[in-house]
Amino acid sequence: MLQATLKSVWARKLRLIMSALSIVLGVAFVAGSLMFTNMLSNSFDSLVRGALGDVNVVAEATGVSGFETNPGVPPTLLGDTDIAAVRALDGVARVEPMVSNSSVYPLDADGRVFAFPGAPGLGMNWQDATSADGVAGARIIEGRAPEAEDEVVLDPSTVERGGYEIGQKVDVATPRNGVRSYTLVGTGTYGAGTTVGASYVFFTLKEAQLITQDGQPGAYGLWVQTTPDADPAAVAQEVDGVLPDGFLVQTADEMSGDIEEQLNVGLGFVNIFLLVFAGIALLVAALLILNTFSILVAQRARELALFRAIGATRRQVRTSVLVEALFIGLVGATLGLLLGYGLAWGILAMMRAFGVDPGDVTPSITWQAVVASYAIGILITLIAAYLPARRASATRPVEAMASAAQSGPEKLGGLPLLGVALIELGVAAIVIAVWLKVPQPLVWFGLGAAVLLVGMVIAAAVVGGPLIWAFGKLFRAMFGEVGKLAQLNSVRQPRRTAATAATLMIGLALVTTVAIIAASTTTSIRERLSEDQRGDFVISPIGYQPFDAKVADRAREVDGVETVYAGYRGAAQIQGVEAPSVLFGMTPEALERGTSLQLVAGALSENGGEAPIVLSADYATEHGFTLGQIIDLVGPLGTVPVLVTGLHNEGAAMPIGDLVVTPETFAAVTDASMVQQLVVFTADGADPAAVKAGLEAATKDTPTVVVNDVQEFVQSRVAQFDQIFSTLYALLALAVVISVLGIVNTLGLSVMERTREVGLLRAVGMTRPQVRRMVTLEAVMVAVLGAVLGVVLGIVFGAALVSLLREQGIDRLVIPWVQLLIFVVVAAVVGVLAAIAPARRASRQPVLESIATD
Amino acid sequence: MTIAARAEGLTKTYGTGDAVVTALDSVDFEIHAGEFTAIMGPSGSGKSTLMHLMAALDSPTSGDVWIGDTAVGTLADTPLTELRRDRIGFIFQAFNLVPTLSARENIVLPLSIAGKKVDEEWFDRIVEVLGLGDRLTHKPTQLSGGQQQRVACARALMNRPDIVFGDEPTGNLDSAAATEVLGFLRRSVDEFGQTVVMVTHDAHAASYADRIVFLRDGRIIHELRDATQDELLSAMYMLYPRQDLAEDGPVVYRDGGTAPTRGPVGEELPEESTIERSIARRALLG
Repeated sequence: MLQATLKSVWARKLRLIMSALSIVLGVAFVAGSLMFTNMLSNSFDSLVRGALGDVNVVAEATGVSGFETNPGVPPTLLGDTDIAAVRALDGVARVEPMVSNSSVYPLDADGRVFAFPGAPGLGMNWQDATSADGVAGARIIEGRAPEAEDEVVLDPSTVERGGYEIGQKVDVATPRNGVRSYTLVGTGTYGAGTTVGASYVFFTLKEAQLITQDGQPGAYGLWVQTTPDADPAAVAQEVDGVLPDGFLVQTADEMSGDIEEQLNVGLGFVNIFLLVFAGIALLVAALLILNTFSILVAQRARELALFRAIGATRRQVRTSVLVEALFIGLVGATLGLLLGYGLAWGILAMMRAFGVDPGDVTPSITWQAVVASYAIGILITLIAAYLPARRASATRPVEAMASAAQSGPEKLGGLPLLGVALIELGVAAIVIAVWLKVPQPLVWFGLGAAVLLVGMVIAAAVVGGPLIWAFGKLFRAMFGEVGKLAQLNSVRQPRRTAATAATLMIGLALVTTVAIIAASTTTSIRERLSEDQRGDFVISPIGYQPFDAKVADRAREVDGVETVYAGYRGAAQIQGVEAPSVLFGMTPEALERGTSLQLVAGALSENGGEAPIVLSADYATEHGFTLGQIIDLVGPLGTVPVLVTGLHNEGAAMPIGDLVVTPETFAAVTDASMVQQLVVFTADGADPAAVKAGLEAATKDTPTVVVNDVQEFVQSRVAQFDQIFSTLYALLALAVVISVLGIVNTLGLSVMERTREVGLLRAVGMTRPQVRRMVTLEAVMVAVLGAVLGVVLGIVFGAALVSLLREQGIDRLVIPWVQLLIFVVVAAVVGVLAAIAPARRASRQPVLESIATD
Repeated sequence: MTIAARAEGLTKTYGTGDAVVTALDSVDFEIHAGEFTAIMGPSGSGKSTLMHLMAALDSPTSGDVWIGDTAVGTLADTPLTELRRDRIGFIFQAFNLVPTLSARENIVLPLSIAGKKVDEEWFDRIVEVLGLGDRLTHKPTQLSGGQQQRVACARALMNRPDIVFGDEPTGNLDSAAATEVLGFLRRSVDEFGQTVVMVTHDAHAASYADRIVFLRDGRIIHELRDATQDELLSAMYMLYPRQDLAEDGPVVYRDGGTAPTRGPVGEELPEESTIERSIARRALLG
């Protein structure tokens, strides 16, 4: 029996390939998503841990990020004596000072920064102490470490992108010393080698101190390597004991926890998205496989009946089907796993093409992916095969042999009712999330969306009914009998049609959701920026890092410039309030003309000799400050008593903080050598192009800043979001591709199943073009059904999400109707394309053989 | 007598090299208009091949077919399909109907495909003759085998074709249903002047025809017109000789059934056994 089964599997190669294809696609989808997710999360993990010592010391004011000094706060530095004290402790193997800054950008041949938008340019001193977990810390890959002050080492990916060669001169934009020239002596990187888009520039300690600390000796942090037998936690405690106050001592575990928590805030969305994506992948895969097998076993009914007739028991027949399923599942899962691996590479390549470089990472076949692949490939295939196999074995042989090799008409049964119930539940949860004040509305929404999606998949046959009906009317009117036959064919197996459409529905629901969020986000941001932007030109830094205030003076000297307003940004705290806040410094005039900050009450004006301060209304409420109150502003440079003269409601384009003071006050409490942004007004009648050229010349020595006219500025900010959404689209394209292949597969099998019927139609006078049209129309109907349902779902998801994200600044719901319409039209075109092969096959079948087919 | 279709030097071979099988060997054949022609012969005699070629469902290896004045061999696929649609009607042994369409929709299918108007008067008449009036809205699965074949007959006649071809149209039916269908084909010839060609290996079915053509090993070996039962039986001997018995011994069909040899002339043919044999054979062949 086993031999007969395997022979029969082998004998029908086309059928074998098509059924295996559904499994391959499904498994590839799941495996690819898993591997890709894992790769992303690994790249962050290894980046974080590979860049930490066993015990790490950082100045408290700089926060835990460990990479950068907070703008405007000149750090308290650790001197040689502190380092020597730590070095003398038991369990300490090595201590290295850390000096770094995150706005050090290497320049390309044209003198431009080529960093990825938003990615930091890390500049630091070279030291090769071992990092946490005994992983190599910074290490040289090629060449040697920097020894002289004019030598640097870059990370390999930056070297490759910049087209540098070892031994060449490399220009580097530094935060306060303009462009400096160095000799590239080697390539090197941290830990696992992932830079997540950042660029690394390693200097000698002295040079690093020059460019980041204005040449002050000392370091803001220490990298401590413990002896192998020492307990890092105990060492950390000892280190804390010998260092002055104001420094945070953490083990790698504590610190990586903190950092990952911070990263997770940003990465959380991506991770959740990928997880949801993998779940959906699973659903789509299961649908595809279930679909295919129900068709296959129906086709085999006769063969199985013959087995029964010649004496095989029911059990043997069932076993035979299951063995076939196991075989196909095994092959499909293996191929799917490999294809998924390829897909992960593909997405990676696509992300790189879009300019989002997750670093020097490679997808790897993880055990999770392997387990998931085989579990899905084999388990779902077995389940998919078992139900029809039971049906087949229960049929009496004579019945099965007499009937045509075709799936019987499907009964929908109670399943759609369950689906409708789920849809109602899902909608209810989303409504609750949006309109009722519940804790964790996003969780309510997520659950609601998942339930709604599953409900739609189950009930697609019922929900899509009216649409199919409408299509039938349209097709009949347009294509006559051929259209009618197409419509009747598509409702013949409502569950199969629904399952096929559902895969596309899922993909398009996601795409639509992203499209709505993208449109809403960019519109909200664009509107706010346009509303908030003042002036004619804005000079802003590439990586959000502040830049040398001298640029402002140079900009003022440009012909045609009327005024330049500088915005200083730093950190300070109010006496009695624990956490430091963002401190913003600007003249009252600049605040009024150069920003759109709305004052709820008062103004930034001196009153009675005390320096004025404007607080954000929320901050004042939270800490109980009122207008007219005198409070102490504490910064690294000193404490200044200030009078609360005004309240503002935040939300200006420039990230204005909770505390706004005049530049004089700013300079008194914190470092005012760096500015965050310059707003330039041109004189009446000045030629904008000439002014822009002048400003560009003025910023020549600071390549990390960009001169934008205001429209351009708004555009460039919006473009950053476009890039993120492009990446999401790329990922979603995968879902859509898989579902299209699913349509091709199902349609192909359906056509095979209807060979005889097509033969009959041809015999009674249907021409080849008519047969092709019939198959194509059916595909179009299925595709458009899936697309329309998906778009409707996506609109619900997108609108709900936008309303939930209102707090995050997406305050405009924009539904890109034209784009959504294009999705549906594209789906119809995709239907046409998906039908090419099956339609061709159907129309080319020789009439006689088709009729004679069993 | 008008010629509805004719063939000259029709040859059809399958396979290549050593495996060549000649299904039809240089056959000349004419179908007379307004006549009921039956093509008889044992399995593998080439009778179905001959019909398929005459009906433009298949193309010959050599030789020519004319339907009316149209030379079929020179036609491309689309005009050929249209010729089938407009000038030929088909009744197959099984799977005659599109399962998604109702009986009425199946009957008018060739007209709908062509985008032509249905002649309601003609439709009503056919439906009435076939007794399908109360079955028109039913789907094929809701019809009995006999009813399905009657619907197929109605479809074949609906576009008033030059010729109706039947490929063992009663092969899957019980005797009562077969008699109904054969009776209707006879009536369509007598009352509507329809030309009908039917392939069968059932002597009872053939006995309804005006003219019976006998094929063996790809050649026409005999032809009868207005045959008596006697003539039909002796022709059957010719078709199904039993090699291992004397001339007057009991003749056994190749498929194991006993030929209706011993009954006195004029006695009813044992049609039941023939039909049962047909069913048995079909079931075996799958």
